[in-house]
Amino acid sequence: MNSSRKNWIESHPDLIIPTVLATITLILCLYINVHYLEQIPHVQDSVNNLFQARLFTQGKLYVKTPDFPDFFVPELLVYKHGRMNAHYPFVFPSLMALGVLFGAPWAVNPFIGAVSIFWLYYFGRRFYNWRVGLAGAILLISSPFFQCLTASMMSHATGLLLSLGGAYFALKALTHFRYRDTFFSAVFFGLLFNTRPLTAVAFVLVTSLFYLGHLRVSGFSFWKHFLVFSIVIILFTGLFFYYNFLLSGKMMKFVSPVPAFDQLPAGKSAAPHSGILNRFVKSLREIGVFGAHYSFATGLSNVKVLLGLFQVTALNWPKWLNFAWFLIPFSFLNRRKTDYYLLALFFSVPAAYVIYARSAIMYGPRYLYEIMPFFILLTVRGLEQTVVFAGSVNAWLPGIRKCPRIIPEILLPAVLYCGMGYLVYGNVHQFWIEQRLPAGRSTTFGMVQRIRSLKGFNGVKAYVPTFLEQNGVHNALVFIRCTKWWGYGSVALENGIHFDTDIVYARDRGLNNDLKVIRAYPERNYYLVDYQRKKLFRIIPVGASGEPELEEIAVYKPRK
Amino acid sequence: MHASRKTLIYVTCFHVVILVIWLYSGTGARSHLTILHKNETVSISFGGKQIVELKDSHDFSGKIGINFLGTGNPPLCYAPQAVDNVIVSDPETGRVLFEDTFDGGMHNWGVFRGKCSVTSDSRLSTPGSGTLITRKSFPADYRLDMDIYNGANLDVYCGYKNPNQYFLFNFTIWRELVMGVFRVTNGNRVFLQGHSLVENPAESLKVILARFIRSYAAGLLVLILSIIFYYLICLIVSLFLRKRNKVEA
Repeated sequence: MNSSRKNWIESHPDLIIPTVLATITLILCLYINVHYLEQIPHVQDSVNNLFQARLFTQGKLYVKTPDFPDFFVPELLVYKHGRMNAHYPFVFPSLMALGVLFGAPWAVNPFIGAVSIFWLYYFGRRFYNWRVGLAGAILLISSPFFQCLTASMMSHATGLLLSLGGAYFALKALTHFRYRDTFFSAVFFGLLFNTRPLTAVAFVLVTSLFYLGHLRVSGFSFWKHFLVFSIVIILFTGLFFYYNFLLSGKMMKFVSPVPAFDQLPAGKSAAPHSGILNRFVKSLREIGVFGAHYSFATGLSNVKVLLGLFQVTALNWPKWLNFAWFLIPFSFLNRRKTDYYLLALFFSVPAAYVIYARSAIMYGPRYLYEIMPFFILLTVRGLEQTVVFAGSVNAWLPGIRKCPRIIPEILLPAVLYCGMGYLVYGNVHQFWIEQRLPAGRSTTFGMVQRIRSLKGFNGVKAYVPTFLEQNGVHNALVFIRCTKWWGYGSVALENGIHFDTDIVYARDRGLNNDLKVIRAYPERNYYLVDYQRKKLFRIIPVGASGEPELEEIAVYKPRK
Repeated sequence: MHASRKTLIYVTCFHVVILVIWLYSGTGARSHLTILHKNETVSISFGGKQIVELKDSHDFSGKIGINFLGTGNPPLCYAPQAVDNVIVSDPETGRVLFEDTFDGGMHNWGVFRGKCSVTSDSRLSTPGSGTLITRKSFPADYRLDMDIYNGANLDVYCGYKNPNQYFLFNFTIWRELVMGVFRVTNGNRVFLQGHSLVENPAESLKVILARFIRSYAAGLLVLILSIIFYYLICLIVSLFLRKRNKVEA
């Protein structure tokens, strides 16, 4: 047994490094999720995806809308014609459903992040060399943007993994001309379409163009590969529309309730106005593509902001160094097809989001998150090229031909990689250790610049269930008083999907309005939690004055 | 790597393209702001397009001022935000009442708060936040023109009499540029009107390009430093080896 294990390890030496890196990622992101994010969703999208995941585990796509939806339906959940469901595509909720089955939906993204790191190492190693794979994986782990989104319950971590998978197989297909690689590439991009549709459209277009670029390459049957690619993509696109049909009753009717703060300024619509296309575009408008408030100028301005945020968030290095190396591979003649492909993937997503009017920012410029692995691989490749080019100067600079090979081959890479290591250290130090924010920098734009900012991120705190437990609240209807979404959003999922749990939570809409919900739950005790002031009140439906009254019971004190 | 002709042609072409993009984007994104007050009507134009017009009978006479709101959103700017070519003119005759291109420093302005300075290309800027007020007062009706560079995140004061009496034109970036017009009376701020602003796509493109090109220059600088480092090390080693060979010979 020992001998066979030893042989296995000896035959797979490359498994050790990525496994160690993936394990570090898993532990790190689980720690962030448990310690800082308190194992609950912090963004409406996450609440909805988790809600849908719970529906999936019970074999449902939607559930009956509860009575009094104003009090019970979490923000952004769709409720129409008596049905309630999340409007997002099905892949991420399906993965979350696995987490729900195992009782740990919060562990899904850390696990996906670990697999992404593993794969990134292999990506770099396969198409460049082990140094690029290793440095790329380390850079990605060290990125606060990656840590935040991988620890969170957003769909972007899944998007990143699927993007990486799609690009990996596409490059393999373009290198080895194997149909199975083309097939798997299309499967990954198809799944991505059912996770982050616009990102997938950008990647599929770029990949198709690269296939087209091989039209005249001998040994590569372009049409057959393209046919395989197209059929699979069409199947997954069909699945996307079919799922939409199951939810909304119409293939082309997308439903996306968007709160007012996500709206962009007025501008002219770019949508055409005729026939089927018009109906489709009208539907697209509802989900933000060519939206009612869209104009090319706003789209471009948004992308400018997203790229600006990406520049400072992606690696968290000094501003000018973040993008310093990723164009270096193109400075010289030894650039490769892989470099161009990764560069095209990198730029395709910002280009695609020019047509999208609702580029929201959360944990950073999340709409660009899926380009992270390509950006990082190009950055490391650029650093590698710097080493190679600087180390080759003895061929054309006078007086140094007798120089020992150890200098370009060991000393120079050591100096440059140590420089990169220093940047990574600075980044980790700043994000994890340094506690004082420099003047003028904060968590504006939903960006996280210090790990401690994740505590109560986006206003969401997990204290309410503990608070109620401390005060022995059972068989209760508890109203949450908060002017923002996160008050009720932090506990909405505690209601389950049928709103019949021991403690049922509802939004407070003013005591007089709350009375109608109270009447619908006659056997319960009634409480109100002031979310911001952390106070618990008992509701007396008919007080001394004949009006409903509040009686203060307790103020929340966190357990030490 | 041998510097063949093909390599040289490629490297030259690539860097000429980079240089052209650098020159195109190098001046920074510029937005022209005009505030016109005439007959109790204030109209504001941004990027050559009128965006706000409102009536207000309160006294508009007084000084003008600029309040840089700081670098709370540094990622949006690839260069410090700056102001240039401040011109105040008579709306009827066009006679220039005040003009400052900051060639001679900030002597026309009193620094009210923070640290402001004039950059090497004669623009008024600050690395943090700061407020400046003109030393000169203006009549009620005037036209104020100024160029704002690299993402406006500032307040413009008009009719400034004291810290409690002025009109405030606030430009803030929150994903997109928005502006609000306020009147401050006895220290109380009253919101009059607001508007979302859209930058010229060409200006947005400049910012996007400049991000990559300037960062690329930083990468190139590291490359050149690496070559110098390697060359120096190798030169020292070569000299050492030559000397030792000579001694051995």
